[in-house]
Amino acid sequence: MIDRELIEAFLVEGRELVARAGADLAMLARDPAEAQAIDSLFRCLHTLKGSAGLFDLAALTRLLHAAESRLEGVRAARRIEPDSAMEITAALDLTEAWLDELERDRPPGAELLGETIALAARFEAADQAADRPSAAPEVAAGAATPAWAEALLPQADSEEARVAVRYRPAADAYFRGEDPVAVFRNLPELRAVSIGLADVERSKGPYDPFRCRLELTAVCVAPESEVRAALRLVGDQAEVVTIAAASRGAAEAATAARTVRVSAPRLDDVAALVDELVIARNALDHVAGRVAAAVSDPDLLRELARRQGRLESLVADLYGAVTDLRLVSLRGLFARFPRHVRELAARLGKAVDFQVEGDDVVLDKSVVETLYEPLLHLLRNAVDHGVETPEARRVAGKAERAQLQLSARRVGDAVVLAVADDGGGVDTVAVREAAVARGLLAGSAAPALAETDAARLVFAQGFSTARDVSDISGRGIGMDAVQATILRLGGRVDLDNQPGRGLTVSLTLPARVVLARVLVVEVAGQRFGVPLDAVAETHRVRRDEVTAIRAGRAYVRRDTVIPILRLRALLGLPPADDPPAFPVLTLAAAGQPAAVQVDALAERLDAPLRPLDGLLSGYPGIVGSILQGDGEVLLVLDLAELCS
Amino acid sequence: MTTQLDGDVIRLEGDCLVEEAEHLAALLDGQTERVVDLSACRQMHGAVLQALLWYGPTLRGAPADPFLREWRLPSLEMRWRED
Repeated sequence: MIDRELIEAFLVEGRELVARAGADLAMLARDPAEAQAIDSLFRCLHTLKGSAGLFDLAALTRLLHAAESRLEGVRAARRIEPDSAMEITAALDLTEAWLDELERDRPPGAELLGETIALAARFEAADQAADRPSAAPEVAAGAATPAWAEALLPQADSEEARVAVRYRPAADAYFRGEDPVAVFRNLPELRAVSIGLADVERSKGPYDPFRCRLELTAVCVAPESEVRAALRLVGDQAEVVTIAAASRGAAEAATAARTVRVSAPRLDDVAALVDELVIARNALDHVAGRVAAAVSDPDLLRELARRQGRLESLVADLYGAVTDLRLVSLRGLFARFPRHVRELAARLGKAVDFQVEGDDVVLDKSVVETLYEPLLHLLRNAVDHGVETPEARRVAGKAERAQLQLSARRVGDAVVLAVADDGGGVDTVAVREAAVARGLLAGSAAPALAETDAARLVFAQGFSTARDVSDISGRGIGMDAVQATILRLGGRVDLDNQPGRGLTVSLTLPARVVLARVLVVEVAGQRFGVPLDAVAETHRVRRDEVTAIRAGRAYVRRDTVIPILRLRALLGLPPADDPPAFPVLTLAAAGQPAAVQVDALAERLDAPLRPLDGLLSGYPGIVGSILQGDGEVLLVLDLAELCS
Repeated sequence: MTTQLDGDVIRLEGDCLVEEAEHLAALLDGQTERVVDLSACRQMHGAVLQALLWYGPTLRGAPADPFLREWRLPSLEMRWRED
């Protein structure tokens, strides 16, 4: 039985390596002689092979070894030929398929096994024909850089590390009046230093304090000539090496290795504890309020307030730090799509160039995990319905190869993910017809519908315009599911439809889960939360200010007539007579002003908002719940939805 | 004298030059319990540093020299603690 924890680590690392190798191949597609990409690609495959060997995945190891041998040849030739690039891509796709099987804890199927061995055999046969020597796995990347310099690189900023120095002073250096430490102190633009003892053999003889045994190494970013100038007095006791670009990559890898992997459930445990801490702090506020009412010692109360304030800011900082820990890049997620797009395009006979951008953008882990399905839907839709066949594109005067892009970018506190294609866009005429045919739209209303609204009809439940329902998408279960998922994450979906020229679907998501700032209101003896950002202002309205307008009631504030809605009625609670004056919340949402009448305003809370699960999930008008200090669950209302 | 023994603590003070190395080595030789206090040390010669690396005593304080402070040398850093 293979250790599951080891497999989990391999799954994470393996996907990262496949992603990095994919990025290298993309770079090589633009410039087949890009040395850094060739080296990085080689290292990725080398590491993958090593890990696969660890798990006794013989077929995969054989494939990766054969692919690595091919890359040996590529490195020697200093450029990658299109055939090799294609075969390496295929090898990476298969590696990913193996990772998928491992993740599901299944042995690889016969088909996968067959494909893997067949591809390995193709590599091997071609290499034999070319009489290339098989790769010696021991060959380390960047062999030009000596090991002592490699050891220092992780400490130096790899981007700028340029010159490595090793200084082994002569044994009589002290007698000659040299101070090796002073020499090193004067090196320009130092980035890393190591001073140790050379060839220590402690057991032999007594310690001679005047026999120099030091070995000093350093990495500088100054030009080599300046470094040599600083060492001119020690002459050939110092070696100066300019570091090859490949080693800088190795240093990056080594730096990455210094980070610690923490399993996701453990991180979730910590996050849950911090949530509890926030709640406990809120409970303390509650008690402090009662203490303040009962105690008359002003010094004591000031002290209590001060400590409370300190605790509050610490808890907020901790919450922020833990939230940041949960931020993960989109790299792993995005890396899963190129293979799908390639396979799908090949199956449908379409020529698609797929590009990924912004995979270094970070999002909360839980959000990233939820995005796979919606993005896959959008990409499938784009390839299946958006992108035309090469012939149709030629007729339309477009390039035969379609462009499909998946991108992510940070916009303020939000992250915008976009799937953009240069296909046919949404056919709004067909959409109108289909909507009428399905009874989603009255026939008379169809022509009047604005273009953007017509395009948005694809989000309606059970909607599909595809004339042939394929097994890939087009069953009308795609877009509404995408929209529902994104809304549940607190985001929104936008369409930019250019009929005949393409479609861009943008998903805007909050970059992090935040403490919800909530105003607690009371109505019919119950307490509810209202997100503060939904509230423009709160004030009291006297009964005599209210006038009846048609079926409703309204009052005038700053020359504006504002309708008043009773929260009791919105929530279906029993009606009651109005008191002489009552509080209202005016809504911050754009559009028509509205005021919501409540019985009383209570405190404000900062608390983690939990999405509703179970029976209540998807219940209209409720955005989530907050566990309060006293253990009660507070439902947080979506006033805009309740009022609409 | 910039190398002084005070009980079991060896204090390095000011600029410790090459000639201090012999005295320091004599104080450290066979005396594994002795602690070296660097808090009053400004700079040290390579030969002094070499003696510290050789005997590996417990260190206390850090020298004023920014070069030595910044590049906490790998063999020393495990025991190199700021007071």
